[in-house]
This record gives sequence, C-alpha cells and structure tokens, in this order.
Amino acid sequence: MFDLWMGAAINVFSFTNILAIICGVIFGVFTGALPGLSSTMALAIIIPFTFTMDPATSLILLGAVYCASVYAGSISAILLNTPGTPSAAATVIDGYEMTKKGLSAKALGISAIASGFGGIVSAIILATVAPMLAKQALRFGPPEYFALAVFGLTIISSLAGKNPWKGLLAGTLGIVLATVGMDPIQGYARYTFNSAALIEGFSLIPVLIGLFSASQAFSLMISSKTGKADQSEEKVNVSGISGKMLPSFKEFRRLLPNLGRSSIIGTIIGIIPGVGTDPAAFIAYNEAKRWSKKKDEFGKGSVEGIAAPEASNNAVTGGSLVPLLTLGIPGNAVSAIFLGGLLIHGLKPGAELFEKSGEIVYSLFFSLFLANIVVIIIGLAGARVFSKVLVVPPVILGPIILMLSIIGAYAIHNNYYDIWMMLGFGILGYILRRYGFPLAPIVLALILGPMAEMSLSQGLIMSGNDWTIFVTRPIAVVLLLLALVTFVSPFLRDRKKNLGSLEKPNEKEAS
Amino acid sequence: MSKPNRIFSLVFIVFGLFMFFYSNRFPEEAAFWPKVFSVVLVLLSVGLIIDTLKNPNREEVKGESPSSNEFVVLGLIVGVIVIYMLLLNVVGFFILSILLVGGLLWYLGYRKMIGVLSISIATTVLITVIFQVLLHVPIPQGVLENFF
Repeated sequence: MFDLWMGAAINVFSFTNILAIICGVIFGVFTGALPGLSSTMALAIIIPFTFTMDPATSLILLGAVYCASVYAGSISAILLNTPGTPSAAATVIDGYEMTKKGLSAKALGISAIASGFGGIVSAIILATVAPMLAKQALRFGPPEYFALAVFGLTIISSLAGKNPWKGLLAGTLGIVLATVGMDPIQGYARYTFNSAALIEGFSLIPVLIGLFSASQAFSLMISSKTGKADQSEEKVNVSGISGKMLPSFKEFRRLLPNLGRSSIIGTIIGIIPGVGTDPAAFIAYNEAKRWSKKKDEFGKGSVEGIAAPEASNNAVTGGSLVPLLTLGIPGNAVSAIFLGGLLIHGLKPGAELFEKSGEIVYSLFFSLFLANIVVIIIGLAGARVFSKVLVVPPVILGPIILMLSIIGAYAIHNNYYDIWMMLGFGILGYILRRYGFPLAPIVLALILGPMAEMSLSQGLIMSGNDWTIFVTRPIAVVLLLLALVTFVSPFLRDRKKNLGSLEKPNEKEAS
Repeated sequence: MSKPNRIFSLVFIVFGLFMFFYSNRFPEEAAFWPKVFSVVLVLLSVGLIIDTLKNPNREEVKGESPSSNEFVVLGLIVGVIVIYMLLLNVVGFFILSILLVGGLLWYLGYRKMIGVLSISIATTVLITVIFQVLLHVPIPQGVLENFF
C-alpha cells in the first residue's frame, strides 16, 4: 500500500505529469468558464490528445480537465448570471447576487477554495473506497456482471430529463446501435453490410466526439447565424472584480462544516450512478440552507450559498470515478468519456486494473489531490484573467470546436472513416437534442449494451442455458433489485408530480 | 412538440422494424439481443406517440422550438464539411482548414478581416503543430507534401 503511494507520488511529481496537470487545469478552466461548453465537451475534445501519451499521464490530464471544468462553471455563474456548465446552476443564485453587491472577487475566491476542498475530499474517499470495492469485484462472474450492466442501463430512466419516454428511447437506440459489428460470442458480423469499417462496430471515441463536441459546435454556429442566443449581450465588467478574494481565516473556519457536509454529499451522489453534478449542487445548497444560522441571507448573496454547491459539484468528480474504475459502470456522460480514455490505452476497469496497473490508478488518485490544489491556486491567481475569457464572442467558438472535433476523430486511428462517423453522430446528436432527446443515455447504452449482452451469453453458457442463474446468486439478485428500483422510481416521481404538482427546481440538463 | 414526437416515433419504428427483420439472417444466438431491443425500440416509440396524445404539454417549450431555418444552416455547414472531407487528401489539411475556419467565421457573421485571418491561421497552425509534430499524427498534407 505504502509502496503504491510512494510510487504514485514519484510518478506524479515528474515534469511531464506536473505539466499535464497544469495544462489540464488551464484548459478545463477555459472551457468550463465559457457558457455553452460543458465538462463533457472539454473531455471529448481533450481525449485525442491523450492517445499517444503514457497511460498514467493521459488519465492525470483527463482528471485535471474534469475537476477544473466543473469548478470553472462558477466563474460565469458569478460574473454573468449564466452557469458556465450545468453543474454551476445552483451557484448562480448567490454568486450573481454577490457580484451585484460588488463582492465578485470574494465570490470567486470562495468558489475556488470550495471547489478545491470538495475535490480533495472526494479524492480521499475515492482512494479509500475504490480499492476495497475493486476487491469485491473479484467475486463477480458473468451473472453478476450482467446484473451490473442491467443496473447501469436502468440509470437511463433517471437521466431522461423532461420526458422519460425520450430518455428510454435514446437509451434503446444506443443498445440497438451497439449491436452493429461482431457479436460478442461467435464473432458473427451483424449489420455491417459487408463494410470492413463496421466490423468492430461504432468506435467509442469518434461517437463521443460527434455527440458531445461536434453537435455543440453545430449548435453554437447555428445560434450565432440565426441570431437566437446572443450570449455577449451582458458584457463582463472586468474592472468590476474588485476587493479581496481570500476569505479571512475566521470566515473559512465558519465555512468548514458546510464545506465538509457538501463535499460528502457530492461524493456520495457522485458514487450513485446517474445522478450527476447538477442535482448534487442543488441538494448541497438546500442542505446548507437548512443547517445555516443565517437562512435569510441565502439568495441574497450568501457566502455559504456559493461554498455548498461548489464543494458538492466538485466532489462528484471523485465520487463518479468509484463505480467507473472498480466496476466499469459510467454513471454519467463525463465518466463515459473517461472510460473511453481508459480503453484507448487498453486499460479495463475492474479488479484487474487495480492489481495489474496499480501504479497508474494510484497516480491518478494522487494527481487528483494535486489537480485540486492547482485549481485553487489558479482559481485565486487567475480569476481576473479567466474572466476576460468570457468576452470571447461565441461566434468564433463553433468553427474552432468543429476543427478540433474533425482532427480529434481522425487522430485516434488515423482514418477518414472515423471523421465521417463523428460527423454523422454530430448531426444525429444535434437533431436529437434539439427535440428534447437526452444524449447521455445513448453513450451509456453504447458502453453497457455490449457488456450486458456478453455477460448474458457467458452466464447462459455457464449454466447450460438455465436462466435461473441470474436470480439465484445473491449479488446478482441484489443488483437486479436495485436496477428495478432505479428504473421505476423516476416514473413514480413523475406520477406524483402529475398528481400533486410537486415542483422541484432542479430539472436536469443532460448535456 | 407533438408533431416532431410523432415523426421521431415513426422513424424509430421503421428503424426498429428494419433492424428486427434484418437480424433474421443472423445465427440464433447473434440475433437474440438485437431482436429483443428492436422490439423494445418499436414499443417505446408507440409509447411516445400515446404519451404525446395523452400529455401534449409534458414538455413545455423552453425557448423557441426548432425552425426550418435552423436546419438550412445545419445543412449548409454539413455540406461545406463534406466538401472539405472530399478535398482533404488532394489539397491537404493545412490550406483547407484555414479556408474552412475562415469561411465559416465569415458566413456566421464575424466580419473583422484581421480576426478572421488570425483565428483561422492560428487554429490551423496550432492543431498542425500539436498533432503532427508533437503527437506524430500523419495529417494529410496534399499539395504541401514534404513542405514541412
């Protein structure tokens, strides 16, 4: 154990990896701060760059981008009244109020510290929980993996957003699309129409780049052409960032219980697949308000109202890596992309990853502490610089992101076919999202569908075609029951909402 | 949202049926999974149609609903990218990408000439340097072959 941590520390403190962390944080802050560019997109763009890197370095880079982009959503939330990423929606409430009071510097300072704090707490929990969970995964056979994949797939019903039918349709579309290519047992080529390019099925990275960055590029370009969304209306008053950024020690101490609670809420929500950063932020915000001595300050520029959602949404980062690294279950679109980053290096999540590539995993853990410290430093030192990013006219972003998507899709296997595939999924993604179909379920289904099919077949081979194998093994049963609950609960909630009009403020934006 | 929902449902039904019947030619084991989920796709599409009839206001419109103008712009952009792709091997990444980024910027209404030039050139140079020089991705060079 100690050896692993020592090795990780030595590995992370190399020149390349420190550089990766700093570049990752700067890139993440940049994309996170710009409204319209989400963490998901930031990671989809950066993945092609990691392809030729050493596996540890590439994961370190992805981790840094992830943490920093979730943090940076708060910059525009505070200064522009627009969340830079959906996860910062709760930060808008008190963040912008503080800006109106002329306290923007302090709001930015609190947000940087809270984000870093949340990230570090979640990294600690990740580093302790994940190895234990990975050991448990050793007891998993095909029936358990099947149950696990089914559980992962049922998350789709909670990712659905406004219309659960559309979420389910998107997920099923993903499962059906994932059947293209060789079947997992016999290798029979399905739906390939004699095209060699389709034998391996749709390859994950071009699909992800298409769905999350090309579709976003289209949407940015189309909105600037048709003049619908003019984000530059509210210019940032950069000179308006004034005052002290750092809270006094006394203030910080008063925030500590809030920070601790919010970080733990965020981490736990991160571990639960399918919930994600935006609800985590709102839940932490509500809890902070409930426990606060100054409830009436909430909504009027409360420091606690910034600290809570920021600590919580950054804590989701570490939490969401727990099921991903140990079981291969991505809980949201961002971790699905993270999984893509693992797979291109031939790393498969699970117990094996911790045993055979322990150094890589522990380097990632260690780098997350460091990345969050860098987030605090860069957030405090660079807030004035990054606030200038917000005046970048949105019209120039579309073409640049498009270019990065094209080269990114090409760079993975150096072939044109991947660019066409990326383009196709970009168009599909744009149209589906425009009509209210969430995209995250498609990606989860593309990953989990084949996993479910393969473990189902293997399980049936194991039992000699006896289906009861899936309901007689305890872990599998528990997972399948969990799956049932996960699947049904959003519909019950929906019903309740229709009946009693129980309004919840946090409608999820599945981007 | 009721009309688009019906159209999407129909498209998914047709797609699901196609996937279902096409899988008849696969061996039994390989056909099982796609068959099950094409049926699920069709059923869910029917569900969406029924649901839209029952609760037409489920998705209150947030912002404007998509306009046909939007898809004209999308079509134009995609058309330009297709042309870009077809010429990529002949003309090469460097020249074409400057033209693509610059052209798109101009088309989208960004009319500062210096801005258009500097953004398109800077983007292309940066991408070329990072991917070709640092990451050794063989970027198609076209007419500039052996120039670098």
